[in-house]
Amino acid sequence: MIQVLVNGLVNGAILTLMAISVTIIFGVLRVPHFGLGGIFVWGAFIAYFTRITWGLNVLTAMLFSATLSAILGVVIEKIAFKRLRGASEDAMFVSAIGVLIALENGAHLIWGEQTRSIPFPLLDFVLSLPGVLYLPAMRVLILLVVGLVTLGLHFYVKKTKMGKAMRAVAQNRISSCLLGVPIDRVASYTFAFGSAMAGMAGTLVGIAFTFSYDMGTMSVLKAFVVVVLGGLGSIGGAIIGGFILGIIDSLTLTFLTSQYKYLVSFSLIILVLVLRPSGIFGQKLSRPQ
Amino acid sequence: MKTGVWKLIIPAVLMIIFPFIGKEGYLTHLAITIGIFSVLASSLNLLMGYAGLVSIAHGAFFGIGAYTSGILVLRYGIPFWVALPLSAFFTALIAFGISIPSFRTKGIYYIIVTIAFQFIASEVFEGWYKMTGGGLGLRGIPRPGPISLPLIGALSFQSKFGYYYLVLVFVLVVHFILWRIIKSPLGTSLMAIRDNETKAMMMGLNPLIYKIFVFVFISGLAGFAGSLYAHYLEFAHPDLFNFFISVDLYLMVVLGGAGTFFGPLFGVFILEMIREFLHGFVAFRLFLFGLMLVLIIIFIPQGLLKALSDIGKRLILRGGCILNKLE
Repeated sequence: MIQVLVNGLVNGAILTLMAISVTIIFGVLRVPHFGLGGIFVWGAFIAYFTRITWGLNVLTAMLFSATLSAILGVVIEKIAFKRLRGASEDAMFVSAIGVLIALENGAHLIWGEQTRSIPFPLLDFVLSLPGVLYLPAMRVLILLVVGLVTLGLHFYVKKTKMGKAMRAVAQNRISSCLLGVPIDRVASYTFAFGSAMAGMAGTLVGIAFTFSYDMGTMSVLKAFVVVVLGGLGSIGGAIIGGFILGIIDSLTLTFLTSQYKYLVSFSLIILVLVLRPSGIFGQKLSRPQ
Repeated sequence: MKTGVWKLIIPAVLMIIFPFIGKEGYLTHLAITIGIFSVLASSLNLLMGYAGLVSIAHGAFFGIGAYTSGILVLRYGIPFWVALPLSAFFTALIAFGISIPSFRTKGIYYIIVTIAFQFIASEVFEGWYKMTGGGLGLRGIPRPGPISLPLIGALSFQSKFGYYYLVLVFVLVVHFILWRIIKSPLGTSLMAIRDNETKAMMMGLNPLIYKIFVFVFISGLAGFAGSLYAHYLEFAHPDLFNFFISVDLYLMVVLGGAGTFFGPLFGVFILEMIREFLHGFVAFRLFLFGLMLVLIIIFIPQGLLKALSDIGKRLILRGGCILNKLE
């Protein structure tokens, strides 16, 4: 039982990372960025190939792929979302779905469709309580990375000037524009952070499990489920939602069924939205403009 | 008036003689597919373009119709002509069930609910092995049996030739109904709700009832289309009704122009052509679709048909350039 819960926690950690990236982009810029699923896949591929061809160690490969993902994210923002700023959510959704499909299938075209896994050297280290818990090093690493990134983001948003600007834009774009917040730079930074985290989530999945080009859609959808569970735009909600969903998934898989993997989590989201149309931690009347 | 009549007669004649050109071959197959997808896109357009709700679950309802009809005919031996309306009815029923809770949400939340529903449906198609055949698909769904009409005699639908006319009648009837809905007070009310829900409420409309009606109606149509599709292919598979089909349908509507009657038809035509030309290159086709979505929403959000006809008008009425600018 504890083992199942901890497994859920580890899966939840990856989900959380993805969900935070979704939620900061939505919270600051009101973009429902489904394209992060594509960046998730690209992040995994970039880490895989830097690790294989250049032989970098896992952490360097992850940082490298996060950097490239951030650049990719900024480019995507400039191409696909900059002109739509202020357009309706539906329009941005179209663009985001386009980015998702293009990136995923671009990865398919370039790297093919086989399932891969990023090799991880430290497999012999195991944290274990005999009979209760068995936790290989990579799982510990995942929890550690996610924790550090979340903390880092928290301090960045709370302490730096750019973080302040992000919060201002999130509260009211037009007023902050009028008060001289450079909205283009805020948008670039937000997309860079979000995309870097999505790329990192892809890398972590590649390390802990396997990945292939078509995993992005599912992961970004789950991230949206998490985010909606917690309330769109709320980072705390994303963290809690991520762990809840990870544990629920893990419990479903162990005790109920492995055939209907998504049925439970997706029914849950419909249920939550019906009971609380803007998520558990969302503001009661979060109608964007 | 006279030119208006010709505009109707020429396409009608073309549609009727088409299978004599296409025979049993590829062209007729393409025409049947386009016909079925045109129903899906036009019905989705009623929801997206006129009621202003974005749904990514249309493929799921398409699939529910297909599987219901296939299962009724295969597993319970019910004749096609009974299964067809039953499957549409069953799809509408499910849509009704999902619509009441889902309309509590708005905007992006609503889209996420529809996507979640699409994935649940896909998973049931794939997982409910006993009924749907799972990943192997539902094989051997029979083509509909012959019916006899008083004047024409017996009609057989075993061939593509015969099936084409069945689909054609269906497509024409559906589009006629949709046209009437759009032009009726109901259509106007829908557009009022789309443009400003609060205002529409103040005018005494109940948005919820209208939304539920449209959603249930178009899902029923999708179920109908699904049934026809499954009996045409004699096969149903989860991949034919998955998330990407829903996105394709969505793209068809957006590409042609949501909220115009002929736009989605044009979108279906273009996308089906691309789909057929790039048959062996699925990844490349989807990559292209993704790029198209981004480019269309940025540069021509009103849809390709409108943009093309604007360019056409410009070219024909060169002198009108100044007038255009004055507008």
